[in-house]
Amino acid sequence: MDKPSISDRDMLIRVKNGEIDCFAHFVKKFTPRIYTYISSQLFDKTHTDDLVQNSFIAFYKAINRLDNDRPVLPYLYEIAKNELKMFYRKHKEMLSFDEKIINEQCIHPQTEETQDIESFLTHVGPLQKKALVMVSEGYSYKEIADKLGKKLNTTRTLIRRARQLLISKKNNENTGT
Amino acid sequence: MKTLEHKILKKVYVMETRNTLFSIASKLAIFLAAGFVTFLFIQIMIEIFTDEASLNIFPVFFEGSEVMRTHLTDILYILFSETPPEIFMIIGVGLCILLITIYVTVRNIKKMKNVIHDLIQYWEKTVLKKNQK
Repeated sequence: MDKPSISDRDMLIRVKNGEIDCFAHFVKKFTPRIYTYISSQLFDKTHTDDLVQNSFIAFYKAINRLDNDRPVLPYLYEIAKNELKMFYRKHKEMLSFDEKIINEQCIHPQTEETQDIESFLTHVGPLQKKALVMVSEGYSYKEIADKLGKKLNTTRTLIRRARQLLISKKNNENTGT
Repeated sequence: MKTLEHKILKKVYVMETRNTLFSIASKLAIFLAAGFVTFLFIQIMIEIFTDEASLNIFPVFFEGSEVMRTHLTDILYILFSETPPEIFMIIGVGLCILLITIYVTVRNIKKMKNVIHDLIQYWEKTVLKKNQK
């Protein structure tokens, strides 16, 4: 890894001392490299521009935390990488709400799998069953705890034990057959 | 690439202008509020002691340094014991906030000066450019 040039270090200190003009040094020096890096991961030019801008803004915000003796470029690359991650997370493809799927589920609610699960659920206690059903419906642990009137940690334990019980029952059944 | 660099720098300057203005305004507001509250409660404390003339606190200050030195411990004791604790606490907290605000401002004064200088320069340049166009 290259050691930072003296000018980089000096400029960093000056930016930390409030001389915002010196930030232009980093922008001019590293924009082409960051641009190339981001555009190699993305192909949409408008998004590339935005991500480069965001990376430099994030760098400016974090500049006071940066060690003067460490090179700037790896840090900038790391920021750009994080910006890319955030971009992908934001633009992740989501399954659109489709009424057909819902209707199909309403027509055939009892599949073999669900029947299996229900038969397994008879082995756990009523409170554990209720908690597991709520987990499958997408409730958070906190919401389940509120609904059951139990503490959050108690609910966690309840669900964990129920899961362990179900796993052991299923394993026993598999080894039996 | 040049336009991109300009865009980045503009964003940085806009962000820094906003942050600086907010920081100055918040520090000023805290300073004024703490100063006002402290001043108000010191006034109330002085009024309490002037009303209770039997305690003889303030005349001692006009008697000269010799008398003041001999009675200093007595005066401080009376001040501590006779002031209502709520007022004393409010004055203490107000003074603490004032001192912290002053300390923080003095510590960052050089940085703040540089930031304001650069911001003024940048905005002057951009305004001049716009006017020339």
